[in-house]
Formats: sequence, structure tokens, C-alpha cells
Amino acid sequence: MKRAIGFAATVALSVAACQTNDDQAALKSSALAPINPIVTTCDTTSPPVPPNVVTPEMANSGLPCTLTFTASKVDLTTLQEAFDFNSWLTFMALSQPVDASNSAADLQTVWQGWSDLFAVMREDGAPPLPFGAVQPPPASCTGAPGAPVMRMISKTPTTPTLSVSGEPLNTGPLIDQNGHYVRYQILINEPMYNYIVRNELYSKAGQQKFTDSIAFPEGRLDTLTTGAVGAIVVKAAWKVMAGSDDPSRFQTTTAYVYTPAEPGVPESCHRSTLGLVGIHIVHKTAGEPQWIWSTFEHVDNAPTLAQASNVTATRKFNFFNPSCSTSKCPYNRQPPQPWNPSVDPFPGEFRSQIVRATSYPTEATGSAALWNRQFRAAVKGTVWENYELITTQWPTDATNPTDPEGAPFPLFAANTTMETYVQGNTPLASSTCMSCHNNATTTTGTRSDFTFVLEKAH
Amino acid sequence: MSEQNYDVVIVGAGVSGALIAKELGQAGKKVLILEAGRDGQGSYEDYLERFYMAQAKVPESPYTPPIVDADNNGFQSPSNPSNQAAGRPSTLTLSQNTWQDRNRSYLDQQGPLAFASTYERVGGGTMRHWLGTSLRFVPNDFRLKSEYGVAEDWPIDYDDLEPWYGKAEAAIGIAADVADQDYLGITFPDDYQYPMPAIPSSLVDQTVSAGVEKMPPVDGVQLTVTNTPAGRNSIPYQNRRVCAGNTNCIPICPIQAKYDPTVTLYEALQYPTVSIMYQTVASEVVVDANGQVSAIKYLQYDDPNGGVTGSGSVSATRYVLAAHAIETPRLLLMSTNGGRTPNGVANSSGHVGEHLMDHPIYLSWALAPTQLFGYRGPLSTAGIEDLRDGSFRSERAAFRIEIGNEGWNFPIGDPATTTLDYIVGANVSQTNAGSKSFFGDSLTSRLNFVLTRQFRLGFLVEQTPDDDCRVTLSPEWKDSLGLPRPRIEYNFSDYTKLGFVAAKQTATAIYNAMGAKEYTRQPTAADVGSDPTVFAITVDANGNPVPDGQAAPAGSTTDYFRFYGAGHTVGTYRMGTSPADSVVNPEQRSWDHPNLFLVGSGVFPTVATGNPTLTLAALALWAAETILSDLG
Amino acid sequence: MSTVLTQATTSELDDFVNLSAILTGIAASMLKPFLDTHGTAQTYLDIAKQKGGAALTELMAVYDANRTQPPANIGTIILEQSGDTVAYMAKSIMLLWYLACWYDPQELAAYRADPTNGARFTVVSSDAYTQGWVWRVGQTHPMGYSTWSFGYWHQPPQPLSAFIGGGNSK
Repeated sequence: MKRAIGFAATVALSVAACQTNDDQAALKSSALAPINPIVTTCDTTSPPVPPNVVTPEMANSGLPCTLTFTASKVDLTTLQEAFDFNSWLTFMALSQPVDASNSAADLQTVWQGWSDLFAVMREDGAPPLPFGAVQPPPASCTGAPGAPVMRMISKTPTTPTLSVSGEPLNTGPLIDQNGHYVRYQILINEPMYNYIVRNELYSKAGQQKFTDSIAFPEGRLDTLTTGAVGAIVVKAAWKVMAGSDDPSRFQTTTAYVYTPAEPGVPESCHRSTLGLVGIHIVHKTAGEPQWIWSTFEHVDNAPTLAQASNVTATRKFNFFNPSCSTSKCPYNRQPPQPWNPSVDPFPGEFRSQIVRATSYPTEATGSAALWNRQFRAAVKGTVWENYELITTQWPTDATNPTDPEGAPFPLFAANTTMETYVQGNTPLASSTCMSCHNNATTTTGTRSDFTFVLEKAH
Repeated sequence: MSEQNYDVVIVGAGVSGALIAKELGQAGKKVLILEAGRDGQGSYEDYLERFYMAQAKVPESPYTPPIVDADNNGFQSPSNPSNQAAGRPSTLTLSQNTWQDRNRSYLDQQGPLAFASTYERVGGGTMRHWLGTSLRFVPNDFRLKSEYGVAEDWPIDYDDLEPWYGKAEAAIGIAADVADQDYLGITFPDDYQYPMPAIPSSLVDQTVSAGVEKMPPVDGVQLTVTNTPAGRNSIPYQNRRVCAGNTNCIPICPIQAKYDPTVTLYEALQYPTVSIMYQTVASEVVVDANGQVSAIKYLQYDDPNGGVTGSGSVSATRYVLAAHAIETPRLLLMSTNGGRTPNGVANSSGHVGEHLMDHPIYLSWALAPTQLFGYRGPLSTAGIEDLRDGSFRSERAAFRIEIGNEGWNFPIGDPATTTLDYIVGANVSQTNAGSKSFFGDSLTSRLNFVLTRQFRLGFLVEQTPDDDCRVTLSPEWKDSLGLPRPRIEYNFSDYTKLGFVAAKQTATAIYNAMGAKEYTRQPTAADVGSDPTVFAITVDANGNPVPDGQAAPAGSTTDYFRFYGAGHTVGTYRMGTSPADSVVNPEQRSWDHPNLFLVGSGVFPTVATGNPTLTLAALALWAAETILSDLG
Repeated sequence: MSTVLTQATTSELDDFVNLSAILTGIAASMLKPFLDTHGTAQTYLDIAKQKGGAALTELMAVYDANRTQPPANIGTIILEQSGDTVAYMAKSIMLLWYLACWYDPQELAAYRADPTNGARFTVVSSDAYTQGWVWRVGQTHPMGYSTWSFGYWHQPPQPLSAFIGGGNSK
């Protein structure tokens, strides 16, 4: 069993965000620079052993390049704890404000400054915008220069929006308690962006020319704190701040909520404040070639299935109404069709009534509870105390010769905001990051290293 | 409930209904779909869980209403269709003890043979459990009578249907290469490309191909192995994943790499003018004094095992019945309009429910001389199509040969049966002479030896449209809504049976050419009459069939065959050139009621030699265009 | 998820796995991997205890008494020299591993005498079904559960030893 074992160290992450205005120069310079540059700031903090707990300094100790495992016993519990700790460190490192000196409320995080899927996979397969450049919005979007455009109503883009939802197996969009569609973003970090650009994988034509196996760059630790970050994908779910929502409990962003035109329905775009309700962070490392799959949710999203019948009527959830009976509000049912996000709020009384329905093994629930308690306390006073780790899915046997999934654990994992309607414990049909992404290919049908990003090329 | 006027009401949310609803919705027409079964959306986990837990993993096993109940020990046995509001047939009720038991068999089977195919009543319809095979018919399929003097011609020919085949292939998403598919007169437009590249062949295909290359011609025809066009993704398509070879197309693809009509259904429902009512069973087609259809009455239920909880009727400018080839005639025959239409609606010809056909399957199986690694890939990726046409069609049924990738799963329920043989000490598989039991390395090596050599060939025989095969209404058997269940009479003509004789000979010839050892087990005389899926045929020394009851002359041979249903139910409201001998005209419009269309495989005058799905999808798209043209 | 009736002591579970390896021909380290994500060994032991009762106790006692013998001898002793109760309990356990289904020992004995009417069984769980060993012995995957990629069926699979471990075979 191969596992990267690192040293315990506490290092502050310093991020230099270099953005130029010259597209050509930026692309040209990225063509010469390494795809996966060496960094000297790999966080190798190891999980604190009781009675030690996570401190604020530890919580913000920086981005791990790969897993640090230092427990004396090796079993599912200790490994899950190491991966979950790693997930929190990663989440916090990527959620540092891009401009740490700016204390304004609406701080853009590092990951929010990454390249959006639509800036990379462009119409007609045109080369991507420079890394981190925001797409110019459609003409109907005005009033917030530089704001991102939120056009996805499911975790995968559908073109046009009014076609069947991009959720796997035709499932559906998520409607919050105010009747607004939840919006999604897919963002990739610079090594991942570099790999796509360097190998011209941003177009169908480029993918057809590419004859190697797709292998995104890996995070790794070379010595001490020197290594490379590797590819990271973020999928974020955003909820329109409205009604009685309290934006101070959310990481917020100002964005355009955009819906393209459909027959009989003009396009719509309005500026809005959105709050983060769910985030997937997926990190490829040398030890985990099937990637590490972390998922976090806002603590107010939904009760668990077991809790749902006992929730106090006054408790406020983003996607659950404690006062609605199960006959009127059956759990985890898709909205009735048609799904037309330009009709806003969602017509009629329908609001998504969501419960957390995936069962996790005790190793996973215990570990998540342990680190949620400690990290949320360590970041108290920031918006991040309102987020919790659901779980981390990781390969237990990454080099298994007959199982390309590497025997994932836990078997199933779902975020209520992104795998809303496939929460369960049925093999293949219920949400499990690795099994579904194991089927990901390029537009030509060849394996695409656990990401569906490449199949979105034009 | 609602009596609002629609442009079109469609009965049935299967592939035909979904394709038509989508075309109409795209044109802004107001459409209501009535679906007898439940909403299939969001039920994938439910279906797949039911499949994994099914003790008999038959084609209809994942879907609803469940075909089995479990006793206190968890053992599953057929559920009772008398207690179901929208029941459906099951392959678990084809045995001597069950096929005529009203508390087991949904269909009231009168015989002499059992109708062995099943269909679904659920959003998405029967095509949810299809294999994915998407063959075009060959031109002579449409001309069986004028070419060979047998059965009927279609009132349309291949060239009429050809553009619609292309549209259907895009709507479903077919993976194939044109260069493989232009045999037996099949043509494509210049530069035509299938939507996706062909599915790669399996090792089973490659092994069979190497064998048939060495064969002399059969009936003057050189056999070749041809890649099968499939509604299965070889590249990402319609936001669905690429095939991962789950080897489970029938009954359910776990990742929806195989197309199913819910894809189109949910696209149709995205148009604001298209809506659907589930758990809504059409119960009567109402006809007015002018011979126009004026409404569809329906019953609704809450509990799939309960009775009627609601009713209503809907009216429209045009009506489409798309409830498949047994439920559509059932509806038409039930529609007596208070005695004004005692023989049902659209039935001046008397042919509603008549000429029920299937592709009865002759199943053979063998062990290859070398490992060919079955149980991998889609259930079938290639076939032998060369014998779908030829001069022999004037004498006996043609067939296509489906090469199975799933070992002996279909013939004997493997790998479970052979595993039981080697662990318990039995010889049901016929590979364990002496019925010894094994453990450890000798178990794994023996089991590996047979599992990696097992393969099967299925012969889909072209059954003729016959006068003794029909759907009527059961006088006594009802569902829990109080509606009469379908009654079936079914038999094979000598022409069809002679196809089985040829199939058996061809199978053996192929196995000999491959050096494979055949294990096909034929039934015996004792099975005829007790097993309703067994029939006999006696041929004299010249190969001519000896009629039943007649003494067999010297030199005669008698074969006993077991047949399986291919799931290809067709023929029961056929299209034709005259209202005297067909139910719909070439537009699939009822001769009797100009505002009524009947679509689906029931319009086929013959079952032809290809799987029906692509052809009925092409016809559905054509009907949609006709309806739009009517609506103006 | 399985219901754990009693928490097996490590040696009890290890014995069960080691005996299962001898009977099934699958390496013990594959029946119960170091990081056991599916927990099938514990699930099957629980079922064997619940459904087998005294028969399981008797079987494990025979194993215990003969544990130092070579594996081939242990198998023969259990399946041929210790009576039907022990033999058929062992076969039920083998079928749990191979097919992820519970066949009662009496059901199997009746099947051996006359297989005409089949043998009744229940599927343990959807998760167990995906881990059935018969498929791996066939160098393939369960029908309905593939972790491989498009086109794999065009090439031969890995050797049997990659699937079931040990120097078992070809």
C-alpha cells in the first residue's frame, strides 16, 4: 500500500496572483512556463493528536500538495481522518482572500479567481482566455463590471439551458425556499488549465489530434515543503440571497444571474448577490491518481433523513421547509417540468424539499464530525464557520490492477446541492464521485482522467 | 379532471409517444400525454436496486409494478396481476403452472403456444429494457409478398422510410459505421454519417467471425459477422456517458449510456405546451356521430395495487394511440361507446388485435475451443445478417443471428447454474459429467475454464402474420381498475417453424466451423403440450412440413423446439392499402377515424428481419410530421 | 449496510476468511483486503451465524481441529469426511462469496438430489452483488456493475491471478 507520508510542519501560504492585460503575452508565457510549477510552500501540517486541537493558525496553514499521514496505526479510520483534515486545510487555503490586505466584506477567494469552464471551453473551440480572466458577459448583463456570469442551473452545463437538466440520469435543478434556481460554477486551477492549453484539449479538433493518455498534473511532495500542487477542480453551488437570507452567514459574491434566450422567452440577466451553499474540491495527487474528492456544504442546507421529521418548525434551512408535510412536500423530488429559469421565482408553490439521504459508514461520519467541530471553532468569526465537510472520498487501493477506481471509500458520497436527487446507497445509480467520474471521457470517447470538463469542448 | 382542448392527446409515454410529443412541443402545439404507469423520473436508484436484488433478473425485473412479491423468507414469486391497476406481462409466468393462472399471468393466454414477450407500463415505456439494437430493415422486408409470395407487402418501401431512419438515428443516438451497414440492398444518402462511431467488436464476435470465414455458404450465402448499430454511446451524447460495458443493457443500463425514451420524454416536457398525467389509464376512445374521435376517457389510481381514484376525459384535435401492440388494441376493443361500436373503435376491418407477431428466438449455445471471454461488453455488439434475405424466403422464415456477449446467461441462467453445479455437485449445465463437487484451485480453474469459453447464438425468426394469433379482451380476467385484461391466442405457421429447422442446422454448422462444442439442449416429445413454449415440426424427406395429425411418411424427421420471445410485439393494427384488410393507412391514420393515429410496432404488416425499434421510431417521426401538417 | 449482530473477534473473522479462502480458491487477502471498504467478510460471517447457527459452529470446529493440515486436506475433510451438515454449510458459505446469495444448506442438499425445480435463494444486498467472486473467476465483472472503460471488451482481460490472487492459475 503506497501512501505519501509527510513531515509535520506549519507554513503560511503566500499566493502571488499575476494577471496581465495582454492575452497574447499571457498565453505565450504560459506556453513556456511549466505546466505544474515547483512550489516551496506545500503545507505538511499533520492532524493534531488529542489533546491538541486545530488552532486558527493551523486551520490557515496553507495548501497541501498531497496527503500528510502520520498516524501510527493504519486503518480506514485513521486514513479517513487524515483525508478529512487534508480537505479542510485545502478548503481554507483555497478560500483565502486573493487580496489579503482588503478587509471588505465581499472578498474574492483564491478559487473564485480561477478559470471558469466557459472561459476555457469556448464556442467554436477558440483558445481559452488567459488563466483567471473573466469572460465578458453577454450584452444584457450590465452594472457589475468584472462580475462572473452564472449560467448553469445544474452542476454540468446544458446547451441550451432549456434542454434536459445536465444532472446525471435526467434528474433536475434545485429550487431554494424563495423559489430561485441554484446556480453553479466549474473552476479549474492553473496547472489544470496549463495542461489543457498546452495539449490543445480545449477543442474537439485538438482532442482528436491528442494521442497520449490524458493525465492531469499531480500534486506531490518532493522534499520538506517543496513539491507541486497539481490539478484541482472546484464546483461551486450558489444561492441567490433574498427574502430572509442572512448574507453574513455565507461566503457571498456579486454575479450576473444569466439565462439565455429560448423560443418565446427573451434572455435575462440581472446582477445579484449569491451565497455559497456547496463546494466540491477535487485534487489530483501522485498518491491518489483517482483524485481526492472533498465536498462541503453550508450548515443550513438540509436536515438528514433521520432528523427531518423532528426538526423544529422555526429552524431555517436553505432547501427544506419544516412546516410542510411529507405528502405536500415529498423529499428529494425534482421540480415539475418545464424547468425555465427565466420564470423567476419558480411558478406555483413548488420549492425543493431536500434531505440528506446518503448513508455514510461510521469511519466517515466520525471523522467529519471531529474535524467540523474543531475547524469551525478555529475559524469562528468568519463566514467559514458556517460550512461543514460532508466527507472525502479517496482510493484505498489506488494501484489495483483490475479496479481502475482504486476501491473508493466511502462507497457513496453526495452533496445535497449538486447530487440532490441521486443520494442513496445503490451501486452506480446513487452518487459516488469516483464511480461516475471514472466514466468521464473526452469528446472522442477516450478516458479523460476523472473529469467531465473535457467533454464540454466544442 | 381536465377537459381542456388540446391540439393532440397521446396515449402512452413510450418511445413513439415521446418522439411525437417532442416534435409537437417544438412546434408550440398543446399536447397532453396519458401514461398508465408511474413517473419514471428520479426512480433510477429504485429500478437498479430492484434489479440487483431480483432473484430472476429477467428483462422486466427492475420496473414497476413489481413482477414479484416476496414471502416471509424473502423468496420471490410472481405477483398477482388481478391486484394491479396497470399490470404487465412477465417471463416468469410462461411455465405450465403459471401461464394460464389468472393470479399469476397478466395475459389471459389461450394458446396453443404462449406469447413469450413482455412490455412495460411506465414512463419511458418498453424501450427502457431494450438491448439497443438499431437495425434498418432490408428492402425486401417490405416486399415479402411480391418478392416471395408470402404474407403481406408493406404499403411503403425502404426508400420511403429511408429519410426517417436517418432522423430516428439522430434522435436516439446510434453508434455505427455506414461502411458496415450497406448489405442486402440497404442504402444511405451519400456522405451519410451515423451520429457516433461504431461500438468496438467483442472477443466473442472476433472468434465467431474467424470461424464463419471458414464456412462454405449456407443456402448459397456466405456468412459474415457484422457490427450491430446500437442506441448506445460511443462518445458523450445527449449529456449521457459513454458505454462502460456493464453487460446489462437488458434490463437496465446502470449509467444510461444506452438510450431510453425518458431522454426524449423529458426534453418534450421542457416545452411549456407539453404536459403529462401519470397513473392515468386510457379506458375508452369516444367516437361521435360523425365517426370522429371526440374524447379519450381515462381512469386514475393512487395505489398501484388499488382501484380507481379518479376519472375524466380529454379532447383534442388529433389523437395518437402509442400504447404498444397489445395495450393499444386492448383500448380500441374496450371502446364500445355504449354499444355504438360493439367491435371497438377503428375496427371496421375486423383486424384490430389480429396478426399478433414476435420474433420467436431459437437459442443455441456452445463452448468455444479457446477462451473468448464472455460476460464482457454490451450484451451484443455484432450479428450475422446475411440470412435475413434470400430465395429461401419463399419456403421458410428468414432470421438474423444475434451473437451474445453474455456467455450462457440467457440459455441456462449462468454463471449461477454452473457455479451451483461445481460447488454442490450437479450437472444442470452439462459441463460437469459425474456431478462432482470441487473447491479451491480445482474449483476456480474449472469454473474459469467454462465461463471463459461460453457463448450463445440467438436466431430471431421472422414469424408470419397468422389468423390464429390475436389480442382480444378476456371475458373474465380483470385488473384492479376493473378493466378486462388482454386475451392472447398464439401459434406458429409451418413457414415460421421451418425457419427454426434451418436455424438449428445453421447453428450446428457454425459451431462445427468454429471447432466449438455445442450444448444446445432440445426439448422432447414429452414437453410438447405441457410446456407452452415448446412446439414440434415434422418434415418429410423433401423438407416439406407434414401437417399436424397426418401420418408422417417414411424418411420424416420430427424436431422439438423451445422458443423465447424477443420482446418484439408487432402487427396488431397493421398498415395497409385498403380499409378492408388493414387498420391504418400508410400515414398511420385510422381508415375509420381521420383524426386518430395509431403508432408503434402494431402498425407493422410483417415483423421483418430486424429488431423493430428503429423502424417504429422512424415511423413515429413521420407520423409527427403528418400530424403537424394536419394541424397547420 | 450490514447489521452486525455480534462484533466478531479478530481471530473468529480471520478463521472464517481463511477457511473461505481454502474453500473458494480466492486469496484471503482479497476476500478481506487490508482496507476493507465493503466489509463483505463480516457481512457473510454474520449471515452464516444467523442462518447457520449450530451448523456453522460445527463447521468452524472441524476447521479448528484441522487447521494445521494443508489446505487441500482441510477442504476434503470438510466437504467429504465430516457429514452433510458440515459439508452443506460450507457450500452455503462458498455460494455467499461466489454469488452474493444465501442458499440454505437444506436447499442445496435437495438440489443435489434433484435439481429439477431449482434452488431458492435471496440476494444479500446490492453492494454484495457487486463484489461477487464468480465474475472475477470468469475474468470479468458482475452483469450490471462495470468499473472499466469503453472498448475494454475488444481486448483480452488481465490474467486470472490478477483477479483472484495467489499463484492459482492461468
